[in-house]
Amino acid sequence: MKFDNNRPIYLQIISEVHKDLASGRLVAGQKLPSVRQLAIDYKVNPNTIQRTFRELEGMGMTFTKRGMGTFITEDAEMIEEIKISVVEGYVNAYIESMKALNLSNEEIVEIVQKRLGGVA
Amino acid sequence: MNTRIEIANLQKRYGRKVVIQDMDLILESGKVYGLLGPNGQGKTTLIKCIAGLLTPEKGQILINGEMRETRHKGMISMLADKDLFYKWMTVQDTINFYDTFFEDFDRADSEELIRFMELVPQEKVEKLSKGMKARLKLVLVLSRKAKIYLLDEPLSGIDPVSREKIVETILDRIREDAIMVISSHMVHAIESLLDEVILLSNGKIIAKEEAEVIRSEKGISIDDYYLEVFRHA
Repeated sequence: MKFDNNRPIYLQIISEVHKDLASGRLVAGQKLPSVRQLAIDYKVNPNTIQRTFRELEGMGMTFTKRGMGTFITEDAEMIEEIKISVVEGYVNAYIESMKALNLSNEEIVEIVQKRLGGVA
Repeated sequence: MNTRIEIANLQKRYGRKVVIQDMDLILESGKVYGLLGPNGQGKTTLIKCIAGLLTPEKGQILINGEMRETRHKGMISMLADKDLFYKWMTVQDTINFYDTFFEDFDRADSEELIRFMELVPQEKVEKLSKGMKARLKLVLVLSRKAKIYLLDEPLSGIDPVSREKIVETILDRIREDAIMVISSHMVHAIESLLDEVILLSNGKIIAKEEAEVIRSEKGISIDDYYLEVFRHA
């Protein structure tokens, strides 16, 4: 994965975790890979992964079992909230760029419907 | 066990030219430091002073609270810009050479690294391309389980594929009980490796900052930060 070097890497990894929760690639109670493994996978310094784990745990999104590793929270409500916020984030960004092109709400809806109709 | 280097009031001159001036610096294990700056700012000199290859005129270097001495050499694994191989050596010979020379040499790890780097043990070192030679040097240096790694320009003049392999290998060998110092003017290539950035200009440290702090507080990459600092230096 390529990171945007202008933004803290740990924040970018957190948003990756959010996306994986939204898509269902990560589920409640799932064990995360070790710090070392993630450092190699993401090609970043292990301390950056450690920082990510600390932040995730601080937000209540993960918990640590002594000697067993780090796990995704069992809190279904929290995961649902994360999913919604990820989706909303994308939708808002989309709407913003359409508005910047001076499209009306109706036109935006129409384009999306037409496009989805075409895809399906 | 943790390792700590304390540099205080360090000064090094070549003739009249002061190369390191009144430098104070603390380095701690578990961290990867990027020693960054244009050519001729004192990066290599500082590394050589830590390695004990140069004797400073003033100041001190403490390793774990003790004055730096010859016996500390066993703790330090250094990648120099010069080649230290004999012409007749094969890749395997260099491995054997290191293995007999250094107590902390991990033979099994060196074999794994040789494979990863796609080096051929029977090949003559002389015949290796610049990129392959750089890979071999890194294999030798990182196969030692040292407490302090000093990598002087591991990427300069290296092709992109070798560069990627080298970065990946360094990443995989970061240990909590070891200090890693990487000097480079190719900031972009090592950005994601670094915990802390040390900028050197005219033999002085002009900035020492955590990599993530630079990104979060300034909203720029280390590469851009480097340019911003040195464009006006």
